[in-house]
Amino acid sequence: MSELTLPQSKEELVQELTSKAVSLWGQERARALQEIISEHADHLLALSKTLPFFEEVPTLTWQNHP
Amino acid sequence: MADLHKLTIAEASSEIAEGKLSSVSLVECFLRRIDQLEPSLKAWVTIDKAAVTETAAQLDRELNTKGPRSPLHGIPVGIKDIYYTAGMKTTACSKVYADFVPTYDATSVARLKEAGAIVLGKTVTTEFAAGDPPPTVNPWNSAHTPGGSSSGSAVAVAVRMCPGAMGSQTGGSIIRPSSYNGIVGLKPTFGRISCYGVIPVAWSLDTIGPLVNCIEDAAIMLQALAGYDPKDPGSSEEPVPDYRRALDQIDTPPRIGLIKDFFFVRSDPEVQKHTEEAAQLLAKGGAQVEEVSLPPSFATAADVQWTINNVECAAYHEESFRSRADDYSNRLRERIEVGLLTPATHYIQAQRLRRVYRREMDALARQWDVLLTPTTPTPAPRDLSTTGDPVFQSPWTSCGLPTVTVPSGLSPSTGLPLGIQLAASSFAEARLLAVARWCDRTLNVHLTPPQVS
Repeated sequence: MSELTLPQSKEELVQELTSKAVSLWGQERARALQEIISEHADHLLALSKTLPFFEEVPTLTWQNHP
Repeated sequence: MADLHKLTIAEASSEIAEGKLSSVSLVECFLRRIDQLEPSLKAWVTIDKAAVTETAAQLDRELNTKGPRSPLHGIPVGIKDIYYTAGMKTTACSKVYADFVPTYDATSVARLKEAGAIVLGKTVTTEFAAGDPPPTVNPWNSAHTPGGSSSGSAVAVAVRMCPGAMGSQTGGSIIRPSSYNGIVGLKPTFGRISCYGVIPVAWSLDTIGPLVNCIEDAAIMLQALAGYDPKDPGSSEEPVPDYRRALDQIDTPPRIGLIKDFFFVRSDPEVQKHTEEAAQLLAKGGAQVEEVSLPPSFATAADVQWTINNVECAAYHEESFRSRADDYSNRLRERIEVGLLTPATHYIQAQRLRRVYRREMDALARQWDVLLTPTTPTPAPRDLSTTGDPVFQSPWTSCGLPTVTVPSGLSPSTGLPLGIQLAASSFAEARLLAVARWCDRTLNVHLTPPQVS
């Protein structure tokens, strides 16, 4: 099993997301998505830089995890 | 009786219960309003006039023999077109669901019907309650967006085509259009009202609630809607208090935490000044108003919201999107696509951060009767390609706390409505509504678009 590593820069993350977009929907659609992919990468990077305390579990449905 | 359309739910309810007004007269009045105003405002998707009138007649007969079921007996309401309505089309204003006719009612619709409310019709939503603009027109100024995604519900209530309507909020879709149209909108605590049978945007964010003309009407509608539903895994077992009675149980002026962090920085100067003046009026009325700071986790609230919203939206639409991508409008399509591109770990990290965020925001809210912010950074934008910015409402949807918007005046520069947004700790809707009514009475602002006068 390979070790999970988060992208180190926005450029790397944009590249990763764009490659996936190309494989799913082709070059033309991936190009059309560049603006929102860039915005998306900003949000994802912000999350990566602010990870919570390791014991924090995700909340998927509030009422089951009060 | 003249001007029936101007009655609030509470007023119409009293008239009906006392036998001074029939439900048939009331629905016929609103159907005439719809005939008159709908061609220019485009707030409705489906209306079955014959069924509405027949249901009203049945409820009138029932009233004579058994009395009213609840304060909603015989009251017509609009239902956003993402709610399942048995036998009536539920299109989500999309090509994908254009011909969908559910075989059952959403739990919320069933509860409204059980309470004696009448489904007047289905109101326009933005496509799948996402960000593409609706056909609906802002009654205050047609060059400005009416807001969304509960666009039709907000406009229908504002111009009195119905006294109340249901909306939904994943970002800001109840509170923002309510504010843009000068009415009251209530987004309850996540899980307070069942979402079963409501087409989702994002399961862990979606919250449904009423759009109405006064706080008392919000309490009346919430009473019928709130409560546990085993069909919705997000539904809460928290007991349901008597919301209408609680409106009168506020014996001292409230303690209000004014949040300027972020909310004032992101507001235009006019909104800053307006909110400051509203807070001063509330203080003058006796409220204890103090400035409070947001917790550290607020810093990533928008990133958390964005990520969860897009990924869950993509998950819901994944199957139909594979074969019908071209049937989705551009903004929604893009959001689905970035959702599909998102690594699973980022989604989980967002949900972990959100748990911290909710805990910190709830702790902040528990220190005050309510927290106060401007509802929107600006009045409704003069831009029909958008439904406005959800930036002031989304943080509350993400942490699940209840919010209400109260009309607070008109923008001097545009003449469009402005509102204040009040938030409370989780499941404190009774306190939230009581304080909202106190604020409403203290500000004493009544906004009606030109079509109502």
